[in-house]
Amino acid sequence: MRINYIYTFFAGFLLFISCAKPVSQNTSYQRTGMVNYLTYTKSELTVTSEHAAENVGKAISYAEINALENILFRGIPGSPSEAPLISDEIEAVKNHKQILNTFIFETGCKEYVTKSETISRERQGTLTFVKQKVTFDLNGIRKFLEKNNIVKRFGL
Amino acid sequence: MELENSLKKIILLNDSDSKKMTKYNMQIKQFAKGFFLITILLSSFSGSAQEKKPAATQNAQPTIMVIPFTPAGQDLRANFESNELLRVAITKVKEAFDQRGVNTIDFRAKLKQLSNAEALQSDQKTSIKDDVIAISGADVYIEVEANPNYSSTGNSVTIIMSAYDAFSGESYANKVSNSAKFYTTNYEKLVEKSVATEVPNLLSTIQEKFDDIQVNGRTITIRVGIDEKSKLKMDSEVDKEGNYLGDIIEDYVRDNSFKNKYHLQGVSDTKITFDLVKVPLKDASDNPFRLSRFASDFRRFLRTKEIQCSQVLVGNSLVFTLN
Repeated sequence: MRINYIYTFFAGFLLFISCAKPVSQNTSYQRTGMVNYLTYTKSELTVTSEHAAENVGKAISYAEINALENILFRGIPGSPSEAPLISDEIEAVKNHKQILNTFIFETGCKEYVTKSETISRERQGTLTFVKQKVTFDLNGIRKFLEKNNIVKRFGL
Repeated sequence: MELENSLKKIILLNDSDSKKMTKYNMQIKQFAKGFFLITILLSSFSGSAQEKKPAATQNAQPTIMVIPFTPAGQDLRANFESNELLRVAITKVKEAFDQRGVNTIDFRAKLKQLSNAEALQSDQKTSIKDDVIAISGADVYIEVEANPNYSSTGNSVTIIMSAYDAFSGESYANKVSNSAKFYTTNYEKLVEKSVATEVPNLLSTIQEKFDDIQVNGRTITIRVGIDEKSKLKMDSEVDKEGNYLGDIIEDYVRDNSFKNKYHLQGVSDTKITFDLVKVPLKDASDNPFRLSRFASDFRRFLRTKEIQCSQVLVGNSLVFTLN
């Protein structure tokens, strides 16, 4: 009898835990194609990038990384950077995984983003969506990639 | 006696010391061995953990010359000197390349050099372009055309840029760029805007072509014809095995083209034309591939079949005449 009470209490407790709202939901970064060309002046490329995360800071960071990844691996349609800076993503990541990871997720946005401002932000449920206007020093990025032999210099 | 005893003590002490010393030596040796092994292990681990950095790719930096587009029948120099918008466009395109770190050759300087040398007369309209390109030593030349557009909703400019291989005349890239419309007559600014947005894409396309050349080789054309006085025909048997002349020529081209890539455009009784034969960028000794060497080898091959021929080499075209 007593054991039955314990089992019932334990089952109820489990049910309560499973129904409880999570305190924090960690969203992981995923590349999207939501990067659009805005302007280009003297090798400075400005794009808008959209992303979401559980807080504003993280969403902005994700939006900047997303823009950088699109410039590196996909190219921005209708811009002077239509072709990606790195033509073969798989090969580049295979040969320079550590450098590229550090560049994309740590140093790249710090060193080569010359301007970043939030155009809009919206809270939907547990996530904050941001639209970020980001300006990159395209020549600087290209030189970094050339210096680390990730891309070749212009030539045969 | 005392002396003897003291000597014995000293000897005993020395013995024990030497034993201790050998013990220490052994321990030190063992420690050194261990340290050595650990160092090797650590260095091997750190070596594998570090990313293998590929060797720096040493690629040749081509030189680019930006020239004005000149319609047939017009004088290149006159066109350049009379068209201000074109001059601005050429300067802006050159500037854009310079900013990107590409080696450029100044068209105006080369034009002056040509005038100073008095190598040309002004009535030689059609050859000026070829001569400028030839004396410039440029690997790639870019023809620029600039046209202003006037409208009630604003003015704009259209820039057409076409890149060619100076050696073969092969097209590398073409880009058309339209500036936005502004209520302005400051065409210099419009040209600058128009050029700035399209030059990076032009360079990317040229680079893609370069990469393709590295993988698939350069394109040349070969034409083999038979002299009027010769009794030879493309279906003449030229060796003991009874092979036709046309067949041995095709076999030679197939065996000596880069990755066996070639295209036979057509064969007639007196002519065989290959409109695409791929040759490598560098020869077996890693020197730039010489087309004259290819021509000489082909001529020598024909001599083994007791066929004499003359050769003409123009740009990327080889023309052989069999006697």
